[in-house]
Amino acid sequence: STLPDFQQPLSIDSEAFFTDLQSSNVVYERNVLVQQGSLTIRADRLEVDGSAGKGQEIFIASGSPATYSQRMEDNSLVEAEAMEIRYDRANRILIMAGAAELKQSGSLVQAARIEYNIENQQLQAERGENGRVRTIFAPEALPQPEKKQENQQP
Amino acid sequence: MNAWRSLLLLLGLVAVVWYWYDRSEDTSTSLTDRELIPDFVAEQLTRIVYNEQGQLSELMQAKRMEHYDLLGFTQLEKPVFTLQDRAHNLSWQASSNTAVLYPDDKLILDGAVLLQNLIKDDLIDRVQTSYLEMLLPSEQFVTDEEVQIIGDGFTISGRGLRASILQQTIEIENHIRTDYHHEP
Repeated sequence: STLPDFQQPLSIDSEAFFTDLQSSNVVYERNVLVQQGSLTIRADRLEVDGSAGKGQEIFIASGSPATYSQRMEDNSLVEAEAMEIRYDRANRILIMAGAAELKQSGSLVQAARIEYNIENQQLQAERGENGRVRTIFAPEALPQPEKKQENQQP
Repeated sequence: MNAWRSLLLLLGLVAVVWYWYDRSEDTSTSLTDRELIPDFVAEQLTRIVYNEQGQLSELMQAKRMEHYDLLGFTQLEKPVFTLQDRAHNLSWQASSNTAVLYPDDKLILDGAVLLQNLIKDDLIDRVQTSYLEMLLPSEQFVTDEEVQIIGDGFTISGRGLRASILQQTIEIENHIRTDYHHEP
């Protein structure tokens, strides 16, 4: 079978590129597309923070909204969007902030901030000051007790 | 008698015109030849320049250098220019197959151009392209050609680059693709 996404090279397409050598960040702008296996992120702007060194880069995509989609190892499709999507490649964690939404096997979670662990498909959603976390389950996707536990903080 | 005199006059005129034409022909050709002869040539050279405070301000090596005073440029073979940042630390090294230096204007690097970062562990290791101009007053590098930037674990390719050694910034006008290699 093909390599899991996180073990594949990651490519970035965009119109413009800029880097300030004193920082370890590079910036891609206009029509940014990040691909790593089935993982796809689209954004207006992408900043790559390379300060933690090779392989530990943090990809910070912003857009209105920035979007993410990826096919999990069980072949289910996960999609998300937010004003900012932060992808921690080494720890395989996505952090979505700003009108965040995440769709996964029929359920839709909306919150100010969602942290999603790609490896174990666990998510943590936080509401904004006056917002709330909404989870909408499609009928066939009602969570079986033992299957996936979504811990939501008040 | 009159006919003779006008004939002589005519002959004299022709001789003068021919003499003048012939002589000017000489000088212009000699001038062109002169321009194409380098004023001085140096081989296997290293040129080091220090500023008033005794700090290194210019370091250049080349296999061969030819200076053409009349044409106002210096041609170099296999040049290596070592640049410094504001604190006079060695920062980048520019090299190419050939280069032409137009003093106080620009340095044109041509063929297998390499901009090597001398600062270890910096994000960007080197920039590669086929043609690059260094605008001397601003110490900006510019090209419209395809470029490759190789960094720690990634390769960036694009077309058209603007880099400033002083500001330590690199910009690609037409970014094509960046690949982050997987780290096992």
